[in-house]
This record gives sequence, structure tokens and C-alpha cells, in this order.
Amino acid sequence: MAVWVTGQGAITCSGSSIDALWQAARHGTSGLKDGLGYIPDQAFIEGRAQLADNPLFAKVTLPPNRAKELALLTLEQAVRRAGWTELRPTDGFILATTTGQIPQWDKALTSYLLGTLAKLEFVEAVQHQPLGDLLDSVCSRIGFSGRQLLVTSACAASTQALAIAAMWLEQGLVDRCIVGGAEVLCDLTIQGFSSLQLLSRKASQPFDLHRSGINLSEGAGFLCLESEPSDRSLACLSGFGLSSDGYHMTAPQPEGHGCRKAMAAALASAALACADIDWIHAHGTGSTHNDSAEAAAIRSLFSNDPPWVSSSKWVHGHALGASGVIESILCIEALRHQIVLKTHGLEQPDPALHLRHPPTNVPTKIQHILKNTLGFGGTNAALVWSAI
Amino acid sequence: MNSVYVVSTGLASDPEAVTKEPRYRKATRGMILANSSIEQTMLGFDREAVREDCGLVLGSCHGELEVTIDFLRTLSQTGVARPILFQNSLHNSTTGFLAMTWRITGPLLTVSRLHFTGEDALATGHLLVRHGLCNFCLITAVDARVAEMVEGLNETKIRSRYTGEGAGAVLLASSTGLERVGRTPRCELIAVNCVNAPTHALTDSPGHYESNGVELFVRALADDEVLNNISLYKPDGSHSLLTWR
Repeated sequence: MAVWVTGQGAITCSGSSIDALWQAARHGTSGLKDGLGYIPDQAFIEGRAQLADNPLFAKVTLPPNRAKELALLTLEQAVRRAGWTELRPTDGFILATTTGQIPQWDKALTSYLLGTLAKLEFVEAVQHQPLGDLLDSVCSRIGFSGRQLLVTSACAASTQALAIAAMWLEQGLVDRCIVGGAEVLCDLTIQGFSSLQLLSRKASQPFDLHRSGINLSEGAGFLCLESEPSDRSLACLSGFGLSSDGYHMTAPQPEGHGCRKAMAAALASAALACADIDWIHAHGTGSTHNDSAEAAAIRSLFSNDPPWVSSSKWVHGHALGASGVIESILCIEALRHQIVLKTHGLEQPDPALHLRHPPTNVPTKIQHILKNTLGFGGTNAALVWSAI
Repeated sequence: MNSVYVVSTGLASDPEAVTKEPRYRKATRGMILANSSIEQTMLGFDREAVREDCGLVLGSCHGELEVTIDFLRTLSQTGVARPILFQNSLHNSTTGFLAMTWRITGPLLTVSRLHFTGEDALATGHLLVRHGLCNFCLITAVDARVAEMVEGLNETKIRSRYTGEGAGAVLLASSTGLERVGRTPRCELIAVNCVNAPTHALTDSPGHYESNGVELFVRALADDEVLNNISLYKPDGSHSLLTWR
């Protein structure tokens, strides 16, 4: 299989553009502060200015809603980069998110139930509760009426969304497809992950002996996919694999069986062997259990001789449902620049993991990158990104 | 591309009848409803013959809203975040619970799109089997009634989104899957298409639940074997068309 990326956009805690994200990833500039990655206001200001300059988005009104605005501004970047001047009914649109617009309604709902908020405000706020409202509203604002889907499979959501887009394109259900993920921070996730003792107050250290947890972050990434290569093509999505652990609500299967199955399926769908993979861009959250399960899966599949393995979470944090597409964008940039990124924050590799960590950013010939994601509920997804 | 067949279907039974069972000690109402619909779908099947090659797609419009409210209220009142409430609060918590219960190791997806949630679950399962990612795929779409929302939204059009509850399930299979379990299909599922309405004004529809597309498909199959398609009209004027033969 093969589908081609022609446009990409990203707004993360590391900045308002693909270039800002790539430079941060190359030079090890973390957008995290006190263990969390909020998107700076300046990124929204820059995004609004760019959106106003795009004729396709000239009539779009930006709502006072962080998730919707984030999605629209990032989408605009991707569509502009792809050179799309219109959206057609035969296009597809897939959005991934875990918590959607929760900051628009969570406090209002609890305040109302506790008797401290007027009903009118509660009614207004709660309209944003269904995740589908985010997709519906974004599509309405850009006048898009084609095939749509919202995927909410936790951390694997946008990786799955890319796999679905590939299937839509291959089966001829759409001619082109927009795929994006958007995530904003909220009490539910910050306090919830904290209650599971998964959060680190310092920048995460994936695969480190002293790794102490993950960093939640905000972020959005969008890609424009087409079924045929063109002179605008940036990279190729050449394979994907999906699986589940069926093991635990929040912890990965310790030996990484599900993760291994997803990676093997991705290689098979790309018609590649393990030896063809130049770099694994890992999920690598910096949590004890995730990193050891993922490492076990990699060792198992790659027969103890894995390619370079690294994670970029130290730079941009973990944007949950948006993480797969944001990190895919880094894979695409790495293919374009032919550089394997090191794991920033990794000081003392955990010897029990037996992985091959790039000691620095490595300029080298890269043809294929395997991108992994693992999510709550035992959801696993893997992609193969290939150079043009 | 594979042809995709409906092998069996199921609807949720009354959750009150099963909530006291020990196996549901940590389960939410949504999990119980969804699992109940899958149990009915899988009646008479050797689950071991299916599970190794089976995907699962769950659709839910509101997700685990009752648990989310519990989590947020407890946090607001006591300052304590309870991990069990958090792990059950995400939309795909229900999916994770079902994957554990049925030991699913194939593709596992959760989708959510207002009135089209059920249809999207069906269409995504259809996509997976058609593409050859799995030879079986369980589809379920569920929403659980949250009494506080119904009361809070009394006399508003939004209330209609929260008044009903239920779950429907379908087991899809490829021809290879059918041969493996030795079953005759109920029908071949051809396509699931959704058409958005030009406006988004809700009409009141008490008892409706947003993800009922799967349940209505299951009922259509059961009611009339002559039918080969069904149009489902939504409270906002949009509609879907499900086609089979």
C-alpha cells in the first residue's frame, strides 16, 4: 500500500509551525514547563494571522474555544502547504482526540451540579460535551460536507486515524483525505494521570534508567493525504498495523505482545522486512511500564538487533490523541532532512531495555521509519513512513 | 477486497438485571449495556475460534459521561482524584473493558460522531474486514442515560440527546471467517453512508440515543427479511443509508 502526504501543519508547546517543532526536536529545546506542555499564546496569535491570509479560510470565524481554534489553525497550515484551493465533497476528513473540548464544559457541569452555576450557562456549556461536536463544528466552519469520522482511541487515536485514511484512499471511498489530531489540557487528564502516579514534574526521560513518568501536553497536527504521488509529495505512508492487548485498562501487556503484533502487521502491509527499517520512532512516553513493554516488543520483533530507537516526548510532551500525527510529522521531516533524531532527556539508558539509542542526531540514509503508539485500553497502532 | 457479512446480532438487555453480578463490580452502565449486546451476539459461538482474528469497534456519542461527572465532582468537592473513576472515564475505557472481557487482540477502535456514531462504528468495522485486517469484527454502539443531565437539561432541545439509552451489536465476518465458524450469514453488508443536514437545529425526540444506528440496523434485520436497505433520519435533519443484500 502507499498514500502520499502533500501537506502538514503542527501547533505544539514547541511553537506554531512545522519548522518550530522540527528545530526544537533537532536542538533539544523542550516546550515543557513544570512537567506540562501548554501551547503559548503567541502560537495562537501567529496562527490567526496566517489563517486570515488564506483565501480558503477567509470566511472562517474562529470561536472562543481552544480546541476548535487549535484544530482550525493547524488544519489551515496543512491545507496551505498541500496547495489545496478548495475542499471537495469527495474528500475525507478524520479527526482524532481524547478529551475534545472538555475545558468548555467540565467546570460548568460540576459547578451546576454543586448548585453554584446558573442553568443558562450550564446549558450553553454542555453542548460541547459530545466529542463529535468538535468535528461537526470544524467541518461546518470550513464548509466541508464529505466523508467524516472522529476517532477517540486514547493515545493511539491519530495513528489509527492515519491508518483509516489509508484504507479510505485505497478502497476509493475518498479522493483525498485530511487527517488531524487535536488535544488541549484539562483537569480530567492532569488530575487523572496524576492519580495513576504516571506524571513527571520534570521533562520526561524516555528509556532512561531513572525515568519517572510522562508529561501531558497540548498540541495539534494535520496531514493532507493523496492517493497518487506528485511533485508536492513530502513522504509516503507505506504501511500500518493495528492491534489490542486485551490485557488491562491502563497498563500495556508487559511483554509487548500487542505492540509487536501491530509493528509486524505494519511491516507486512508495507511489504518490508525488519532489516528495511532504519529508525523506530517509539511511543516512548517515559513511563516505567510503557517503555519496558515497548522495548520488549521491539526486541522480540527485531531479534535483539533493533535499528535506532528514540522518542521525542521530551521536546513536545505527550499530546495523547494527537501524539501519533505530531510525531508522524517529525518522521516526515526526518525523512526529508535524512536525520535520525536522538532521545533528548536520555542520560543513562536503562540497560534492561537493550535498545540501540542514537547517541546524537545522526545524519544518515533513511528510507523507512516505523512509528509506534500504545494507548489506554491496550490499543496499539504502528505506521511505516517512507521517503519519496 | 473482501466481501463483508453479518453473522449475528444482539441488543442490550435491561442493565438493572445484570448490574449486581460480581463480574460487573468495576464496570460502568455503558460497559454493562455494551457487553450485554455482545453476549447476545456471541451466543452459541466458540469465542476461541473467533477472538484471535477479531477486531472490535465501539461507538459512543457521550462516552463514559456518568463516570466523568463522578470524577469531576469528587475532585471538586474533596480535591481527590480517584484513579478508578479516571480509568473508566474516557470514551475508549468501554472499548478496553470489552477487549479484556472478550480477550480481543485484533484492531481496537473507538469512534464518536453525534447521531452518526452507530453508523460510523458499522462503517469502520466494515472497512477493517473488507481490507483484510481481520476476518471477524465485533461492532457495538452504546450510550448510557445520565439522569442528572436529563434533569438539568429539562425543557431544552439538548435534553433529547440524553433521554434514551441502549446498545446494539453486530458480528461481521469475511467469507474466510464464515467458513471457519461454519455459519450462514444473515446478509452481506454493502455500504453505510451518512448525509449531513444543511442545518443543525435539533428536533425533540424523547427516548432517542445518539448512537442508536447499530440498534436500528439490528431491528431492521430482525423485523423484515425482505428489506435490503434502511434510511435513518436524525433529529437534526441529517440521515444515513445502510445497504445490504
